Amino acid sequence: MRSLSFILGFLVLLGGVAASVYFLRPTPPLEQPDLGGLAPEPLGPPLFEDITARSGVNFTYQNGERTANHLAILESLGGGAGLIDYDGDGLLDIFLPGGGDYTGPDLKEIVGLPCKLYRNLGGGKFEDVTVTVGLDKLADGKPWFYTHGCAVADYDRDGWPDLLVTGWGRVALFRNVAVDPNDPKKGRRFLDVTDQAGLGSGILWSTSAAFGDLDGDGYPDIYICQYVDWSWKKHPACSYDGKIPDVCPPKSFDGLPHKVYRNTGQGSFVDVSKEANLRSGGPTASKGLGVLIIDLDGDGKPDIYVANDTVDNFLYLNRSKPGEIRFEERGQISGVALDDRGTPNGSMGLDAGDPERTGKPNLWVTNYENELHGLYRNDSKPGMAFFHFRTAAAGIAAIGQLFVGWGTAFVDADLDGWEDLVVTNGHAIRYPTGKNSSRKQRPVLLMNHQGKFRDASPRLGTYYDTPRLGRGLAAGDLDNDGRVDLVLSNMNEPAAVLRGIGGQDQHWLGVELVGKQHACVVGARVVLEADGQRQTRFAKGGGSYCSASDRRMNFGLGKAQPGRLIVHWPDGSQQQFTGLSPDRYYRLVQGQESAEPISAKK
Amino acid sequence: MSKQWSRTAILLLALLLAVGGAVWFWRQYPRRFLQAGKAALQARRYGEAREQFQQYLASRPNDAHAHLLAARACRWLREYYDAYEHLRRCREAGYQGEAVELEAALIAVQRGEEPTPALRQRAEQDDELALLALEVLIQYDLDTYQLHQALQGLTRYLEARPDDLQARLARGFVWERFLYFADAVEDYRQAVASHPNSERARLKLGETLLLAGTPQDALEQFDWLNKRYPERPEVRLGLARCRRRLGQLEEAKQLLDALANDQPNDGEILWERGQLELDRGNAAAAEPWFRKAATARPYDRRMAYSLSRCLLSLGKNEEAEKWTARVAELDADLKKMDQIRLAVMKRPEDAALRCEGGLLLLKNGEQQEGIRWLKLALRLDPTCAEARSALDRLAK
Repeated sequence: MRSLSFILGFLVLLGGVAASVYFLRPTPPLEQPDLGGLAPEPLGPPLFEDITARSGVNFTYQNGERTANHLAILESLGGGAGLIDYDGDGLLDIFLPGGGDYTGPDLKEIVGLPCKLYRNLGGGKFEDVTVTVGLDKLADGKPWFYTHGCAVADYDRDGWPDLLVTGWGRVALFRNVAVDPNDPKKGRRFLDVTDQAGLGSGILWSTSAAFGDLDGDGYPDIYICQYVDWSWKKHPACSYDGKIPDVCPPKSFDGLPHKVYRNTGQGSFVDVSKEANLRSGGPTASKGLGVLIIDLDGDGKPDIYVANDTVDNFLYLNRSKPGEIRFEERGQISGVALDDRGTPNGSMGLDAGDPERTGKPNLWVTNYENELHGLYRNDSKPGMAFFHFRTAAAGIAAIGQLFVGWGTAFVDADLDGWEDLVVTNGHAIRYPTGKNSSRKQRPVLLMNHQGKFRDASPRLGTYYDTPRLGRGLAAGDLDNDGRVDLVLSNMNEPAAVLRGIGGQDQHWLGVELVGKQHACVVGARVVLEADGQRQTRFAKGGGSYCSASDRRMNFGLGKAQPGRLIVHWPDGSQQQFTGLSPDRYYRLVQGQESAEPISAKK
Repeated sequence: MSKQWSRTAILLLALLLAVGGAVWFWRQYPRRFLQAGKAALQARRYGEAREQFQQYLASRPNDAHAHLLAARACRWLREYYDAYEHLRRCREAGYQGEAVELEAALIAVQRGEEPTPALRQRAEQDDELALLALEVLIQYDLDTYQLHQALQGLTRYLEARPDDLQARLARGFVWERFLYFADAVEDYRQAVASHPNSERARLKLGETLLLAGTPQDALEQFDWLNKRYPERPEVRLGLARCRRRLGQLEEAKQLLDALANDQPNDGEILWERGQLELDRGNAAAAEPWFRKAATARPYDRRMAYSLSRCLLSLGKNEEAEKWTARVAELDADLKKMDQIRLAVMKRPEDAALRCEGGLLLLKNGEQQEGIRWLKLALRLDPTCAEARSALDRLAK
């Protein structure tokens, strides 16, 4: 009995010790409180509606990989999209480069596939007018070359937008002409004037191109990016995991020198690349993919920002005089050649906007995976272009470094007066390594909340649901409702048309600038005052990736009414416009006192 | 009488049991050391393994297999004399065969000898000895910058032992060296999945997600680490970086201020603090941070680059130019080193290349790595005068 008591007592003691140990164990630290900061974007209604299926736009850019498994770097670029109101009906039409394919006994003959022009019929409907307008073939019935991009401008100042198409081995310039000069009702067509314009030679591999009056004579000159010195003779075998062959990186090739052509005003262009002080190519320079022409230092002369792949981006500050194009390359010193760590990125797409409402154009660059996209705030002072890398501060770094970004644009998707950002993504190589890295990627939408961005990609609507091989992106108001729409070109997958449906209860104002005698307006700046706030938009050439966006400017107003509108023309002159009504487009002609309301077709 | 007999029988039986028990205990007790040693060896706690084997061998000095295991532990501890001694005793105890010869070959490789083709072939077989050989070959390939070979070895090793933390982290490291961050993230994720309490795996995953993932994902890892190791500077720095990337500048500032106070000479922390001031739009406040960072890490081009940018934005153009020139100088060295690394992967036996790389690394403050390269150069070519004199200078 005594031993039983002893055992029981021992057990009780043991239990007590165990309980003490349990209750007196070190308490784990409390959950780290959420430190706040930028809250995730609340889910809101979609800001875009995918209308591709019912639009009549049914086109796929082909890169050739369906025919041959060459894994050529040529196949990695894809194509862009262009918006051009070619027939002057007030509705933007859509041009889509077709890409190319391989043929011949060893499938190494590079051939082009036809591009497409879709005429905007209104109501979100388009019709294929490629053959009617003469874009099914080049001059003398020659077939298309392997195409990538396009640029739009009225190069001959006749009031009609013309079209430049870029690609492998050459470019093509199409002049917008009347079908019958005696009967305007017969419409417009395109005439391949490449050779007559002096653009028939000298190009090895053109990607993005941009128009802008660089020498101040009113005629738009051309900047053409060239990519790398690839050919079948320079086609090494590459692999990223040591086993599976893949497309070589741009580091395997020398960069090609870019080109700048001066518009003579006589319907032709002259290659002035050398005199203009463009940088030369080489293994660590000049692998151009994107170009944007815009006045960055506020001197009225449009400057040029170039996105290069894996090497320094260029910033060419304009030092031209009439008839003489000159640049000073200031990318490194101004801070836009590299990222915040001083490293060159794989840069593809570009745009400029004023997301913080500083009145100066900030630069935006889309980059490769494992890199941050670059938002560079313009802190230039007179005589010194200077930019600060603001990606992290603007909240954009929160999206991570998962994307290979291409076409992009500042768009005010919800018409709140703050420019948002949209990016289309897709991998450049065939077999990305790592389970979380896929070839097809989803697009990104970053909503701007007074200068701070939040990821709101699902608000791109159903288009967001499917990852794609995104490349080109053109932004423009296809239905003239003040909401910017998007045309996205994907590689080996159908192009898409997204209708902007955001900000339904918000006001907006649209502006079309027309220079004196149709002079090029790139470099102009427009400031809108509304409700004590100022918004600034910039007349740009190029931008995005291999694409041409709507050159009209859209201002989201929220609940405000438009106040004074000030236009700073590239020649230094200024004009003010007042009494503007919201929710409509105005044509502002340089030198004309009043703004012309445009009765826009929908 | 019968009662006395039965008592005697019980006593004898008890005695027999006691003696049997003692014998059993005497035989079995040391085995605990052997088992513990094996477990420690498996877990790569080589010091502990060696101790356990020594304890076991004190009572079982002629156990050949234990000597072989002890040799393995000593080899990994780089106690090659002891390793050879254990192998000798192993052979003396009559243990012959492939395992002993393989162990001798592995010791030779770990001591710096070039692996023989036969050893490489043996490592390709599908058994435990092959994995042993593979471990050593992987280390050799990593040490001699044969990264493609190391990667192949690690992949084979992980096919056999997918949950091996060391191998998983090592392959992540190699992916990072190749700049294949997505693959590195994948390996680190798997390391965390199989070893959720490994702070090394969590830290690597968090740091790599900051390079190739999203800051929100990285934050998850750093939060986990912060709960357990709130004082570790790398954890606090990771947290601050996540907050900054998420645009949470005030939170990042609090973390970095405390960190900079505790680690006033850590270049990475100082640089991050300077960047934060730039994010806040205050270049004047960023300048002293970048100055300190550049002093703390004089060979880091990032520090020099940020200081030059900051000075430029403050209008201190003359001094900025000096730092820009410094960046260019560092860039040239980095470019050269990249070329050497690529060349070394193609020509691993080129002593002059190793020497050039070693000297360049020393010039840029990477002393340990530089010494390793120079020693490799000397091993490949003992007459390599430049490597010898550089090492002599360092020794002095």
